[in-house]
Amino acid sequence: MGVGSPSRTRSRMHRRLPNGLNAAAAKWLRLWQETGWVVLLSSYLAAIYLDLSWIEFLLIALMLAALGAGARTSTARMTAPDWNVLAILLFEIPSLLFSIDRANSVRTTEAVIQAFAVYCIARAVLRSPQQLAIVAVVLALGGCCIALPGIREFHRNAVALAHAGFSDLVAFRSRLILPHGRWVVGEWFTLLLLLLPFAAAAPLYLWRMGRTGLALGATILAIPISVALVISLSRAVLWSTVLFVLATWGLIRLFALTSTRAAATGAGLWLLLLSLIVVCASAVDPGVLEAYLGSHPSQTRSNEGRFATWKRSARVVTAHPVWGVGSSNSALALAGTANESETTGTVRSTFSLPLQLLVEKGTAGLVLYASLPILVGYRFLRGMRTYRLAARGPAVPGVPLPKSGSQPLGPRARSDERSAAKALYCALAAGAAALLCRELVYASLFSHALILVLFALLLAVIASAPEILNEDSLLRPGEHGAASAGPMDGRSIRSGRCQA
Amino acid sequence: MRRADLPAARIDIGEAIHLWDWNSRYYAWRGYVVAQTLPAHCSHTTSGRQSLTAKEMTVAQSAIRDYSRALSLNHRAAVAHQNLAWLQHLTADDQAAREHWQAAIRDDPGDAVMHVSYALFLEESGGHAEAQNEVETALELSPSLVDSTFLRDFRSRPADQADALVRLSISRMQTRNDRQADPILEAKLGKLYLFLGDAQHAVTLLRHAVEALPDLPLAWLNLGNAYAILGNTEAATDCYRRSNLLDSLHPGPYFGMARINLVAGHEQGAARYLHRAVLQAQLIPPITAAHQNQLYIGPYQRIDDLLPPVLAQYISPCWNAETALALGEVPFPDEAGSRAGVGDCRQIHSPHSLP
Repeated sequence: MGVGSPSRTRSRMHRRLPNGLNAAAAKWLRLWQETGWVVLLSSYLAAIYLDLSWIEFLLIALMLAALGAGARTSTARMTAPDWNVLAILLFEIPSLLFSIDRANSVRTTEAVIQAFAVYCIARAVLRSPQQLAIVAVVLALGGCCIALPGIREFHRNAVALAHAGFSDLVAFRSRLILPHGRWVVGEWFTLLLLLLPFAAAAPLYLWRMGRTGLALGATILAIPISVALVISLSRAVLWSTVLFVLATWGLIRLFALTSTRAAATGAGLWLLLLSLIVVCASAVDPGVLEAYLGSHPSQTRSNEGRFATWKRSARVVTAHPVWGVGSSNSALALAGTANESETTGTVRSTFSLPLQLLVEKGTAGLVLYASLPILVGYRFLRGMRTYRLAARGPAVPGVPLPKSGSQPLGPRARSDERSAAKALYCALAAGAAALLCRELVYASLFSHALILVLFALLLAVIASAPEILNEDSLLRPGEHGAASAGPMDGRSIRSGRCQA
Repeated sequence: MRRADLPAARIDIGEAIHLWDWNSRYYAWRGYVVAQTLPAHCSHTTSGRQSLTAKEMTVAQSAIRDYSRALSLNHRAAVAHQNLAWLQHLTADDQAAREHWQAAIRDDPGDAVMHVSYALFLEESGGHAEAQNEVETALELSPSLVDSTFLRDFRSRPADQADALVRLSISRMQTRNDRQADPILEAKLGKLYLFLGDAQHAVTLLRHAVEALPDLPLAWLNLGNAYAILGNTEAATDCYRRSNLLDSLHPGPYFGMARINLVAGHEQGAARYLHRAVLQAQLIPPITAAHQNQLYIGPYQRIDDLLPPVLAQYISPCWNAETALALGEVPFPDEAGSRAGVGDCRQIHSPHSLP
């Protein structure tokens, strides 16, 4: 786990190859490192979404084997979030012993192991901003593929309801989109919320790289995902989306990537786009706007049901304070706290991630899991602050960069690439924060392996900020030989502030 | 298990247990398969208590062992408690049975099935007052119980006992609803009023419920039934159409439309709707399995693993395919008011004749 020095890895690899093969091998190696891992990771995520267990297994085995083969030549370095993730994994195993139904908990433990593997792979193989941009584009494409059928289905069902004489869409929000397989609609929106930051990160990266046309093209990928989130008719989802927009541009301004006016304009345009989506969706399928204005009885009931579930969860926590009832057992434990006067039916979850952690994993689990986003956030802030000075003096969009591998980047181009990477990080960090805010009132992080795996990927990418934003990773592949002799190899990240 | 190939099911589950011997549900399912060969001991559905043969006793003990093991792995499995209680009752260990029934209710007090099952045991043991309490609770949790064979039997025993219970449930639910209006509670009350024949009151409550929460297919169905009783066939048809849109698997709207056609003298139309209802009745998801799927992660459960095997059918609304088929085969009388020869299911579902 952790990130080794890419320059050292490559130079060792080069030494083992005959001279004639060096160029070709280096080219393939570069291609593999830039795109191969991204393709494998994306295929793995698609396999989880489509419930293709065998392909999932093969891909994860392949990636771990490739990672193991590369581990001999890389210098791994564990950071605080990595240790925390390892501690979570170690916690999950003994916590099975305290589970009230171990067989029910095993599947969540499997999902945690999958997420752990993806976290390790992402931490080890994602080493450059270009790779992150490719990951962002691929995941945004995946998000579009998921969102578009959902939008079509929403419209079809809304029309059917209108024909039957139903005028209120909000009461039917749980049945307007029926996702693939065993996905529950709320969890499906969590998946889209997880993909939105990737879809937003790609255009931001391209914009800061001065590729305005491409950035505009990439923005299109974020639109279907935003539309699907808006037509969720869930206020929590909509507010998370708004929070994501505000947090992204707030962070971009905070780290001096743009002026206050430009950040306000960016946020304003994005929010305007969301408003337009609401208005247009309402024009096509009347009732969308009404879902966000006023209070429908089904929304009131939903809130009351949440409060009732939280009270019941508190009773379970009191009975199992340290280790909890075990992963995935909250529904089973909550069933015992029901009474005939409640009309909420079977409660599937605690409707709050912190409460779910407390109920299922106890205080010990809550401390371990809660510390992960805190540590990742700390590393993100450290990585972003370290190079704040270097990024000051924003790059001018439109200034052409030297072609990849042709010649070493000049200081200005590096500054451009660093600020582009920082903009990308701002979107991803804002996405994680927005998702966690929504999870305060909806516990879906552990509901499906894909959500957990994607969240682990997001955290792994954010945790890699100090490494990726360092000087070495911003060099073009042709420069690494020279750079390895320089002062900024992988081990000198801690001194990055001085170098900047 | 769905194909009722019990030996094959037992072998498969045995292999699953061999591979994963700490999965409580596997033991519970094996216990269920083993117990299928036992007589359905239910004094209300058979001719009385039967004593087990030595071979049956061995089988029962084997199932009891499986359920005990399942509960040692997951002591919150309400269905396993319930099934074990039935098996222990079958082997005349009523004290242990009572404890397991109480455990089932403690672990899943929101499941009406547990209350009804315990009520059957209590009634058989002479605890009529306790049994009535359990039935009353079950009615509050699931008013569609009034459509079941269980309540029909309950109704046919002491005079007006069932109706009195329903009135008691209504009174309690009405008090709660007066304290804080709840559309779900109103929908349940509407169903119970409909059972008692107060269609006008049922319409008021159900109308209010669907105005607040229009995504309740059963409330639309009951509203349609209430309108049909009041003779407003147009409103009833609209309600059935909406109910069908919201839950296309439920046979209720088709039965309702069949009744409307029958009253209007369109026998062919009625037969067509009944035929469709028969097809739909086969698609109704099992009651307990749906609940279990919400509590447990893993293979999707498609059958009710309740013991005795007749229990699920006995306490479910009478939509099963066989009854519906029988209903479809009955020659329709010329006069709409005549009910002679029509199957039980219709009487349960529509206790009050259409005008």
